[in-house]
Amino acid sequence: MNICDNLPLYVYGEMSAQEKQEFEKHLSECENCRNLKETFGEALEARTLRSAPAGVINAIFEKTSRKQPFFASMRMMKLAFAAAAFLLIGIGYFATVSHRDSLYDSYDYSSQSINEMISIDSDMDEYESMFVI
Amino acid sequence: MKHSNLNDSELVRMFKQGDNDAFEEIVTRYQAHVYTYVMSITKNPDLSSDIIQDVFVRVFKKLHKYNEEDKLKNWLFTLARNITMDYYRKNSKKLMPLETQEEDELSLINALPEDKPQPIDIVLANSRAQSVNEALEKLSLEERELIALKDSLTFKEIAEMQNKPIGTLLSKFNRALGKLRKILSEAEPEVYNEYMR
Ligand SMILES: [Zn+2]
Repeated sequence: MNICDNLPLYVYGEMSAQEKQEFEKHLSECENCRNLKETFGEALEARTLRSAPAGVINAIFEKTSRKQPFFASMRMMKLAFAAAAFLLIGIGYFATVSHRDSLYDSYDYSSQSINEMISIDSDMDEYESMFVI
Repeated sequence: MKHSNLNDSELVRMFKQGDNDAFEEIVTRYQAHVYTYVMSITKNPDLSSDIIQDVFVRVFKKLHKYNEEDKLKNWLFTLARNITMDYYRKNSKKLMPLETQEEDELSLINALPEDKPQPIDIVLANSRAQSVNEALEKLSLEERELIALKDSLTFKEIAEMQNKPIGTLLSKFNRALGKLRKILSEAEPEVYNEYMR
């Protein structure tokens, strides 16, 4: 291997003390290596790392180390199910109420039967009626 | 004990014992290394951001099974390289002209005119930095990649990672330096003209 090939090890300080000493002797004799060393100093020596945007780092943490634990997401799921069930019952209630209203239209409007119905309804509170229907 | 005082092997071991802060220290320690490396290949900040997210999410998932704690850094770059190359394979039609992609956003930012007048030495240094960036752009992808890896790894580590003889890497690096020298010497007059205007 040509000694000039070792220049990269020299400029990056990846040589032993003895190798370094030998290479410095070579440098004093080799213009090509001196030129390349100069270019290294000019173009690459002061290279700095670019940090990733802070948002990216946070996104990594949120997908990994700060991800919601499984049981927490299970709890959220249960809450969501409860809310959905409550909503369905509610919809069922109102649908039945409006359905019953329309039944009245084709019903016998004799005061007796209406009074009967009103009395039944008034005996139940809102909560009960939801589940009886 | 502060995590930033621990070495890579210790962090990996602590992570395996369920310490997520050890993982966050790994991310903090190496995000800029990986980001700079991926940027040198893609030249695209958004794509590089996506890729480094993939890299570290994969590290998080796989680190439990990783047994070469002392080579964490090598492993990160190998993952980054594979994920980047995968990305280009999957999106080859849209993105492959990687080599011929126009200006890097970085050099465009550097090229923006400054509002305030600046001392001559700063103007010169900026335009010099810009011509260095432009010169780097003219290198091959392989050469750019090698230079970027050198920001974080020794030649020995790169040789090991890429499974190449160290001599091959050294002569490739010298060739890249020679090219840079040529490109920069050609760019020189321009820099000074700019300053003289
Ligand atoms: Zn030489």
